[in-house]
Amino acid sequence: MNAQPAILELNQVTKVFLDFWRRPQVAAVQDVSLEVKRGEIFGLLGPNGSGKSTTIKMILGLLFPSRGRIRVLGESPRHVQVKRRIGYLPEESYLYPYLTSEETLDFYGRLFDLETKERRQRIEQLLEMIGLQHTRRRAVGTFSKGMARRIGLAQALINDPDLIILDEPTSGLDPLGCRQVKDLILMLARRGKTILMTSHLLADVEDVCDRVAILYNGRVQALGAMDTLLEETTRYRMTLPVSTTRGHVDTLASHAHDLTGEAPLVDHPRRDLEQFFLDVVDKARRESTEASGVGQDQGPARYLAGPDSEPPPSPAGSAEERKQAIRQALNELLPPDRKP
Amino acid sequence: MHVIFAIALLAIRNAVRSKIVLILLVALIAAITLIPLTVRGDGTLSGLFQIVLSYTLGFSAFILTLNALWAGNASVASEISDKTMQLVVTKPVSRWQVWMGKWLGLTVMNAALWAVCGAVTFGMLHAHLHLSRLTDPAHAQEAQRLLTARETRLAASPDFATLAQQRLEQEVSRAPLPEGVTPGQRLMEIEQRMRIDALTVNPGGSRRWEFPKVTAAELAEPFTLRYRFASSILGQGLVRGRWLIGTPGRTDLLDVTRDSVPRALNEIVFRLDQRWENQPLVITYVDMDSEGASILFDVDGGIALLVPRGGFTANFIRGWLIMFGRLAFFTALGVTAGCLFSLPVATVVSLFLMTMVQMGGYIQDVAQTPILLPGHAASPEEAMSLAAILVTLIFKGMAFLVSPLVQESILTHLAGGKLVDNLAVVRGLLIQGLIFSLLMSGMAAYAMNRRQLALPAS
Repeated sequence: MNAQPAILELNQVTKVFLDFWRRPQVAAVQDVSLEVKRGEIFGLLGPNGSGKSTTIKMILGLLFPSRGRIRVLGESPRHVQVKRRIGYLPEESYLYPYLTSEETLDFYGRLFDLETKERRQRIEQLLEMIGLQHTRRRAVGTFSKGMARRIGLAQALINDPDLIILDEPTSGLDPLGCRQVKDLILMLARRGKTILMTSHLLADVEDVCDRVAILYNGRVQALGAMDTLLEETTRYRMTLPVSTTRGHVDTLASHAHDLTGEAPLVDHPRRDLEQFFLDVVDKARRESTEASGVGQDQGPARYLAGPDSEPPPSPAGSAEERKQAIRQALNELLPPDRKP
Repeated sequence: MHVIFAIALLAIRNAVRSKIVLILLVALIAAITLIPLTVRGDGTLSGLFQIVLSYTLGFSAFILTLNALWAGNASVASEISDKTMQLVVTKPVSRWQVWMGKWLGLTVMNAALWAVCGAVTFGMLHAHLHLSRLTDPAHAQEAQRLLTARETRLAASPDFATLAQQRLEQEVSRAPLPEGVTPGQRLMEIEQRMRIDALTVNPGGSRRWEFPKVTAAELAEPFTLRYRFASSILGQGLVRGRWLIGTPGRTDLLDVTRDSVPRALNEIVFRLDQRWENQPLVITYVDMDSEGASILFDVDGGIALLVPRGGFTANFIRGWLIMFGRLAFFTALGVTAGCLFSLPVATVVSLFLMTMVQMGGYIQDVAQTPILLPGHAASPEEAMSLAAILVTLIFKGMAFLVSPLVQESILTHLAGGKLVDNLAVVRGLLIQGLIFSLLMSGMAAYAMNRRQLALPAS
């Protein structure tokens, strides 16, 4: 059980939308109870119209619950000062089209009363982080959806929030952007930030979330830790070292057949398409020096990474490091006499 | 304050980058420079002042008033409908700060546009005066008069209500009132009669008015007697009369005989010397009309004394400030309506309220209609229907609401060379521009706090 304090509490929350004559029209959320602890990455899943966005908007004070109680960082969602500690990325980037990317971040920074020097530093770091430093003087209205999404993400982080609410954070982003956002989410959680996110891309949720709630028709249908929900406790999977030959596998399969009376399923593992894509793009990027719409990201903003953070490694370096780590882990699986 | 300034800056950037400011600027300058060319004046400098100030600056003020309302509406209502407001209110921003920021930004923008209008108008007036002086030296005196602000003084008025009451008591002590006539009706008749008598001069008769004391400082500049009257002979061209100007001790220190035009503003310019210092000014009119016409001076300031009180520039700036206060008020009205309603509804509501404020004088007149209930009216025919009572009550309520906002036309004052006093400036800026605006900000914040900004319909 997570002993961290609850950052977000929803207790029997119901939202019924009324018509002009105050007659009930639709119950968008019904008796939802949730608790999100500090440092957790919590996913809110569900099909369209299941009540995810309504729940988020109640947490932000944009809608008021018809029944039930919501506490955000120990306060009512309508408490103005509690919003100093919240960052919000809406489902669509509701930005002012006539402001440039720099002005957009400056405007939201001013709303948090950030000192000029601090605000400018954060804007610089955020623009570097999202790879849009070269578009600082361009109006946001001229941006593609993905670029606007990146600015939306940057504004959500300008106040270095404790609670980050991300509504479809990877929507409109290319795979590279998705990976960066997921890495950023994981990094923020490691720093003790609490993240509540929704996504239609279940693989994204699976990659980053500690716990999820699945909503349907405004009710919580499933709630729990990702591992607990997804683990099939009646089945087993064995991972063999890379040195394993076809003969070894046939022998093992034969033993398994003898033990269980059924032939086990044997196949080759597949690479993760996302990682494959990232490797290809990474290689192409190293071979080309021309800039595209979104520039090369410089890793998370330093103020978000925390005071002790090292300068971020380049993406090429991080991919290589990841490969190196995999090789090292595989080597450890080899018998001592076969290690290189 | 950082938050308010950030939102104000956003409102200004929106207005500038959406080209609204540019379009307005071009339209306003075109209106100010072109309208005087299209309106036929009477050829005098005074007529030109009337056209430039009443028509062109009045038109500009009207355009800016509409802009203040519309921009105020859109600044909040459209941001709620396009959902940009949802992101703003998830930051540590109070609803009143949103209101204040929008109001401040739009007021600064309106102030800049209004300053341009004022500067262009002022420049045009001075250019016309300069050219007139060059072409005809006789215009110099008129130009001097136009460039002087004059305070309007009215004669002391008797307490007609008390006098009428005394007259009624005398009548009742002599004989009872005729059957069917109530004391209230008779009192009203007597008072109205007394008011009319005080402004009527019969053939060969005279009427006297006493004005407040003249100070030594005021003796340096010429005084103007301005009057307007109706003649008992319809269509009469000129009416001859004799004006005696003096002090209580000697009423005929100045003696002027003049043919005056009925229903027009007539003026007599005269200078006073040390004999009037600290003395009340006594003015007597003697009807000398050969056709035997009786004359009735206008009930509303039919005879007034204009006393020089400063230059046109200061008067113009004071008038500009009052109208700026009015613009700030209408901006507040627009932003408040935008906080409460969707854009189309906010537009209709704020236009209705603007009309109500602009017609405040008319509403006050209607509201003065006495409510005659069936039991209290002199006859059943005079009694008001329920609908009429309801309408009158609504007008009384509206008159109460708009009473602090009703003001005389500042542009007419400027065009007529009437003094716009400092008290009016304080009243315009403080009551309209600030107090009413702050009241509306409280109302808007209260409503916005209770408004769910992410409802599907919004």
